[in-house]
Amino acid sequence: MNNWGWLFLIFVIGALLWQINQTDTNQLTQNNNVNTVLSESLDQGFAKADRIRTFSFPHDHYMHPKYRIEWWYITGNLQSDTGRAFGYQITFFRTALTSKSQKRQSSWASNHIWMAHLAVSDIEQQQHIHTQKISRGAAGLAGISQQPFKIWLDDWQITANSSGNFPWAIIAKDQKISIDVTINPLKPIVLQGDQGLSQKSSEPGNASYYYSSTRMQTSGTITINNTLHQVKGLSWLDREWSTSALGKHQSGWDWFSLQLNTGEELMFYRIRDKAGNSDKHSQGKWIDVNGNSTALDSSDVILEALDYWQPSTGKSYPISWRMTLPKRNKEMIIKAAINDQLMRTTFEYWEGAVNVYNTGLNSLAGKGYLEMTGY
Amino acid sequence: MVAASLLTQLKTSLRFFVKHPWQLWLTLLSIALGSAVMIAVDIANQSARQSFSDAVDHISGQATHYLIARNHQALDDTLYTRLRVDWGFQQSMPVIEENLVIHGIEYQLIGIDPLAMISIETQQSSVLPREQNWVRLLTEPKTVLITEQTAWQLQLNEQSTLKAMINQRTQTLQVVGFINNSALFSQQQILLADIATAQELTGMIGTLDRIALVLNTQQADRLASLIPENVQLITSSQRSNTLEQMTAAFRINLTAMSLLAMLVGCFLVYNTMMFSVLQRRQQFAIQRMLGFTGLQIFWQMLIEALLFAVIGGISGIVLGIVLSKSLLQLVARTINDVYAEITTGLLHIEPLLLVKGIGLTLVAVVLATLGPALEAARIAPATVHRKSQLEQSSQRLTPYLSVTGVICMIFALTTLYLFPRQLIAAFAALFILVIGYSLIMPLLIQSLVNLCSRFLPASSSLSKMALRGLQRSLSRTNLAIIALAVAVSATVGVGIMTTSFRSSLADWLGITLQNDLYISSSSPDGTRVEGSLESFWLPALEDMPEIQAISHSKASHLQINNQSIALLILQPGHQRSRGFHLLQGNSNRQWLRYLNGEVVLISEPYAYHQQLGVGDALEAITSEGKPITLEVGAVFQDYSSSQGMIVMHRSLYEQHWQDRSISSIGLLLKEGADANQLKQQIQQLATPGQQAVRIRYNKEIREQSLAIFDRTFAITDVLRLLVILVAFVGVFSALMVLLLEKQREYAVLRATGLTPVQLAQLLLIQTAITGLLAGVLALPLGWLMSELLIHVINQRSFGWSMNSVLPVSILAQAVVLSICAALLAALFPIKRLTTMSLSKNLRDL
Repeated sequence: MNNWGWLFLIFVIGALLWQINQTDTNQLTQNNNVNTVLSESLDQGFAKADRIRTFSFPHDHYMHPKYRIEWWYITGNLQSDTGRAFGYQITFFRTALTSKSQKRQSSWASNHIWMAHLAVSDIEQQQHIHTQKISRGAAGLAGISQQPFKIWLDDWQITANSSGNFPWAIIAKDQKISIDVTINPLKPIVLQGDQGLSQKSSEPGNASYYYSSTRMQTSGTITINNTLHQVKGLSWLDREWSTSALGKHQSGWDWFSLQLNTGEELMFYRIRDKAGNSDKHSQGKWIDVNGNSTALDSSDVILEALDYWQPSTGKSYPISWRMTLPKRNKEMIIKAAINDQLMRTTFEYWEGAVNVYNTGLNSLAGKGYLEMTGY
Repeated sequence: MVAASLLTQLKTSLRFFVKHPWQLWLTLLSIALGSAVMIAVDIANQSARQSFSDAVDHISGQATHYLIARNHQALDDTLYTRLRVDWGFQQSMPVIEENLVIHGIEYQLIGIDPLAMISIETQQSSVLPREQNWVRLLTEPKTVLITEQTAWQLQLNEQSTLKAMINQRTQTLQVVGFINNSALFSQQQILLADIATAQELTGMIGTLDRIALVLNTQQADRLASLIPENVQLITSSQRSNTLEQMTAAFRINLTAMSLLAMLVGCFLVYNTMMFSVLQRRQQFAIQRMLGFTGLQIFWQMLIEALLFAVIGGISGIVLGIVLSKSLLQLVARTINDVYAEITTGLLHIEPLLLVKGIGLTLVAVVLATLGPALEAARIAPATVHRKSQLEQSSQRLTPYLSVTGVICMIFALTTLYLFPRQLIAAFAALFILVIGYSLIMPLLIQSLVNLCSRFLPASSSLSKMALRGLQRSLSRTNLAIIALAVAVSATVGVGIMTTSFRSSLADWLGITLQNDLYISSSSPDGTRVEGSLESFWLPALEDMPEIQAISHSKASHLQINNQSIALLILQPGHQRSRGFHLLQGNSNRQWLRYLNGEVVLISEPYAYHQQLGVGDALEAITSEGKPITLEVGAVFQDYSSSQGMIVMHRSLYEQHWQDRSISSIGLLLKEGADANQLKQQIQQLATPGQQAVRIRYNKEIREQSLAIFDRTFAITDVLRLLVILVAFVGVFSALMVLLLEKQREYAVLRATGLTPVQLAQLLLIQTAITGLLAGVLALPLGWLMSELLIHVINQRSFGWSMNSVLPVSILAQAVVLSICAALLAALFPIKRLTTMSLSKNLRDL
């Protein structure tokens, strides 16, 4: 073989080795995509919650697409005919990917992503079953319609008879759990924060528009592993929309929604900074029996974690709290109905049913929901 | 002890080959070429097949099922919404696939819903990029993800733009990132886009190619009961199987071709090894005298051969890989033209395949060496000085070989008769036939040479000398002649087959294309008839005075025994003739029954594969999901598909289908009407921006069809060339060795007065006769092969029958080719001989 021939052979063998090398698999990486999308602001074109606005209902039950994120958050504590207690949560999240919407030919094009979480806490069996769905807000797969009012993602939906007026019917089904309930408010809507503007940090616009329906009569069915339970109880609706929720130095929040047996409710969220201390923007509302609400600021509520629970991921979540309201001379112990009510969804958080006890008295003073993020 | 003696033996072998480098290189080259062709075809086949288990299988991860349209067209995309929102099937993903071309390279654009993908894929094999690039993928038009390989190939980065041809439109695409786990797609050239982008780029607004699903048995049953009738639920394995079955026959043909190259290679190895035995006769005799046993010499030969096989085989692999790249292009093109859309893909080289290639080479070389090795082992120490033993022994063997050859050929024909439908049996018969004929060839060669010498004019002493010289060395030239003859016969056989096929195809096109102009709705890339023509066409055309008759058709699909079969619905105009060449049921009565919508026509491949005939009943399910029984009225000749086709009269179709659409219109013009002018008029009818319509002349379709045919058979041309190349190397090596061995003889001739020119003439005449013999002997074998290819192998592979044509030009070409190959191969050895040093060669005498 002459020189050219050898060169050629070397080239061919080189090419062959390269080919074989190409088939080695890359190192596998964990998928954090959805997280990135939902937590990061992409552009400055979104509207911000930077001023007090007038709310009107049922119109504001509909979506506010100029803001980046928005949610319809329903939690509740229900009881079956036989006295078996359940907690449930269903949430629809809307996230806009970009503020600049382009005119596109395809009806599949969308800059809204919808995500929904469903969870049922079977307190007797101490099991918490949850699941999530995610979809583009296009091609009829997910979205919200005003007339008739409907929020949906795949086959999960919230519907109302008219343009959003209560009662709302909720249907959501998964392999293991399903809920089919109707919720109807017993009290007027509460505008959280300052007339519905809920400031999360001192930075203007780091706020959300936030309203709640704090005591909603609920009835329907919960199915767990093909067993149907007729249930009744109380639910809580939180509606919030904003463009950025937390300041740079803040790490997460502990959010309490408590429905007391006295007919009163309390909402309080504690924003934690990165050192774990309470932020001064922590706040809440006290709602009396008649539905009149009083603002609570960070000095009005003292929170103390009493006990922790640690999932295998290593983070510790407080599952027992002492909540003191010195001005009202009130002290409550709030305990998770199940320790593990961790939502192991694309972004992980603890959201679960809690029982409220008056200190000293061992009697149940109420029920509620607790949400803990950023741990 | 044994090892030491073996080593000594191998050293003597080595010394022999160092002294005869040409022989060494040529032996290696024949082995390398033979195995290279085999390996190349194997790799090309495997890679083409790999493209079927397509990229979507990776993307849809664990997809167990697919939803597709029964008519093999696009799905309405609202089905996906119903699937998720109304029926609650969460693990589902919409898919659009389209080929596109970037810098002349074909890629596959795959449109998916990244969010749906999350529900269907496994976390570990996520193909979505690590970063948030897929937000841009979702929100910006014309954005794509590429693999790292593609980036490397096209010199792109994560932000580049690129120009791509999609459906004959150039579009500028924006790269927004790399596909994660690109390695999954090392076999495919893909671009990933959001489903919305894919719809926009391909013009498939409102439609999907399919929906991938993860279902358990219960869910699958439930879904099957929910879907509309024009939609079909298939398992993912069903999908890839269909494509595999479709192309199996085509691939078997290629493999047979490559094995033929290997067979020719075997002849060559036998040839060169036999020569090396002849040349070492003295050496082996001396070895025997020194106490080596015959068995030891036998092993020496085998180990020698094994070493050759290993070295030759490895070079064959390297060569084969290089060769397979171009072969793959050809294979993929044929599959694209004839069967289904695949991307060319990258080479898929399985280690197992290479091992198989080497293994086959080893076996072939060892088998081919058995004869020479036995010959070497039988050399008696006393024969040191005798030279002509082989000559005598081989001549003694000739009658036995011929009888064996005849038995082989009878056996081949019996095999065909006993297994009337098996393709493998047909190929086995072909090979046995070739081997049988090769065994008879020595007798034929001898007779031909004798015949020549009897009729040669007495005046031509040089020719006589040449012939005598040939006669004396027949045992050595025989094999070269046989190898060349087999190779040439392969080109003759395949040549006759393609010519016959082409002429049958042309006849068929003449019968089928009855009209002057054809209007069809076409797929955006114009390769397939798709969709339906808008309803205004028929009335508009009826008003045109130049048109004598209008016929129209609709392409659809039927479901028979769970297999989809093409259905053509015809409404004939006032035709000059039927437009079908009926092979069975060719009677006016059957034709009238067809026109009345009582029976259907089936194409020959369908009749052959399903063993159907006139009067048989077909239990089918319509594209609208209704069961229906059809009677076969006649079988017609058809080369448009090897899967088969059913033709139905419009009246019958309308009895069972709601659909009234048409997909193609044929126009018969009045005498003297100007087709060009009419075409322009018709073009004006088509509203711009509306549906794509193709208007084509009869001639255009005809030419296109023949062009596709020629492209399909381009690969056989390439393989024919390769076989010839292998044979050429064989002839070259045989002549080289033969002529060099006779150096002394020629030196004596020169010394006694033969001029160099005369010597060259002598040698050229000898070689030309060798070539002529091979060429002439190749003709009967070539013809036999063509008959087998046309009437047995093609029929069994594709269900096509055709008329054989015996073109004289191909026969003449073969003989000329053979003579030229021999002469060309002889040029170098002759040059060496005529310029040799007389004194040196004579001194050795």
